[in-house]
Amino acid sequence: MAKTIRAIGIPAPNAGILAGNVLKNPDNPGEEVRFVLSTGAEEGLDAVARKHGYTLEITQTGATIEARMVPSGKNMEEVDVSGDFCPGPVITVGNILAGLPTGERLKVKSTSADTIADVAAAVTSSGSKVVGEGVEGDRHYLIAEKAERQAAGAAAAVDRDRVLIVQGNGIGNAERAYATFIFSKVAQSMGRKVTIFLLMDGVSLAKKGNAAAVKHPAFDRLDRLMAEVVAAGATVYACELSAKFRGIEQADLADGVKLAGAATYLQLLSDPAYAVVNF
Amino acid sequence: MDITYQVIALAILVSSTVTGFITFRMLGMKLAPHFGALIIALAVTLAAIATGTGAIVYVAALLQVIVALTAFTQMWETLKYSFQTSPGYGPHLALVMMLPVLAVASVAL
Amino acid sequence: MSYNTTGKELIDLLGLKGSPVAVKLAKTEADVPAGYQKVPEKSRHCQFVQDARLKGMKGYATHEEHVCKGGAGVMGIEPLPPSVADGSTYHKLGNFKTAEGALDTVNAIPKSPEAHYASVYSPLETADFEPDVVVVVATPKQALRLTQAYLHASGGRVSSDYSGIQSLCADAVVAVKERGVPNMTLGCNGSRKNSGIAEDEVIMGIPPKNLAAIVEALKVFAAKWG
Repeated sequence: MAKTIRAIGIPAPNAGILAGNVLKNPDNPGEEVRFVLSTGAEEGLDAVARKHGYTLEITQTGATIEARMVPSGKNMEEVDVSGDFCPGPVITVGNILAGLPTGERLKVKSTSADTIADVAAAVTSSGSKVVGEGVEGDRHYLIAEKAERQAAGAAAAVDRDRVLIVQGNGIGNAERAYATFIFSKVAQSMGRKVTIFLLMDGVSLAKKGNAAAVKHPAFDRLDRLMAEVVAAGATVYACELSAKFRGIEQADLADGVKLAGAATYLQLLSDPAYAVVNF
Repeated sequence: MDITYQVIALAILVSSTVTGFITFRMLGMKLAPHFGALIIALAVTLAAIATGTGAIVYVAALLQVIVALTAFTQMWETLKYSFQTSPGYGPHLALVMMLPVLAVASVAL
Repeated sequence: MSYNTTGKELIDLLGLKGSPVAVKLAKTEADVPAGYQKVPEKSRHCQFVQDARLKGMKGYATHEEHVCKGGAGVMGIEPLPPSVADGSTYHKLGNFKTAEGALDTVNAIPKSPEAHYASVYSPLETADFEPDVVVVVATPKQALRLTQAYLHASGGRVSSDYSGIQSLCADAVVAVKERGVPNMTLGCNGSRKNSGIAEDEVIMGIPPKNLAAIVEALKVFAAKWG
């Protein structure tokens, strides 16, 4: 657990004196302490932290500074999931988070921005928070903070204004492949936001050039239909694992298609605003 | 030249028109070259059996190989990405892939 | 834990006028100690502290009993009135030259992050509850001894912050409860005019966890310095 102390308006060096007295006499030794201070008040806090065996981390949020004092030797955990692909990263991060006490943070790094986006979805779906994101060198990262999952409150009336099309069939089944995009057009004309999640054979549609080979006499070439649907605002995800199995890499993807992982899929399925249909 | 092989090949070709039709609907109606080869091969195989002429048997055998080849070239790009759906192509491909062996047997044995 | 002895020792060792006051912020009605009644009359928090200090009053006050909404507001007993929260009250009262300055100060006043049902008061030596804070109204010399006693254990320095408004509520109770560190404050117009905090008196809020060590130190000082 972390203790937060608001000390806005107390300038340096007094903020440091206050901090020192707080750290000398902690309610729960080994607990992280966060001070919310005015800008500039953090001067000298570093020395105070070190003196009492804490490590200081400063973050600026708007006009205030958050000075986090973490007992030294108890640094934020970090995990690098580069090279691992879905569902590996999400499971790895999920397991670490499950073992952390509330308020503790975990830094997740990867060379793939898509993996980090998927991990972010997993983190928020499990009730924890993403408190920071960024790029360091060749690594994308996010900082997750463990929070207890809130039980669903009174179910507020949710507007089901979105459609999730789960597409498990691809260019090997023309009728089903067309169905997805024709259905998307109908949904879009009815004002619904469309998200298509391609998985298993469905990812065949994600590869540039594949949909162009599919043509039913009654309809336009499939890739053109797909492009229209994307241009009208649909989001198209391709399951990372299914794509990998079929030798489809990031560079092979058709325009408008993004790789996604299981956590994103789960988040979409769990969102009450989506009506889900399978093709 | 044992004409029996050509008779078996004929049986396969006739059967393939049915399985081919089923398959062709799954693919979105783009199997014209393969279907064309199949029909022509069917006609020439019939002629080979009816006449027994060596030259026609050779042409029939060649066409039968082309049927198998066009099946491959037309469907491989799709099957490569269609693990779940490929069993639906099984019957047609299973039959058609028997043709090259029968074709060779019909001229060599 | 009984503060009977501690309370008496503080009074004796420091020569306090009246008693140190145990203050607790009760989250719900169930948190109010058994047997405590509502304060006899509606008034301000600083007056309740003085009553407990000088008249031995024991009781609790909900938002209905709190007349000063600024005090009740920072303790989370009711929402801070908008005109206080936006600084305009203090600006009009003349405390601050500009509205921005007033807002700046009000934003920095220690405020309870949680809501509370009531504030509970008792002289420390007769308190039947674990206080959040012990409020001592003292002379400067008595405050000096308290500070020295606090620092006796491990040295260092004390920092006190105040802004001349909302002294007994925000500076002496809320700040100390939230930080777990003593704070000294010089009173405010309200508490000095309406609740009788005297000219030669200042206020200190002390975390209960430090009391035992403070009393020990005061005994050492009494022995060494007389």
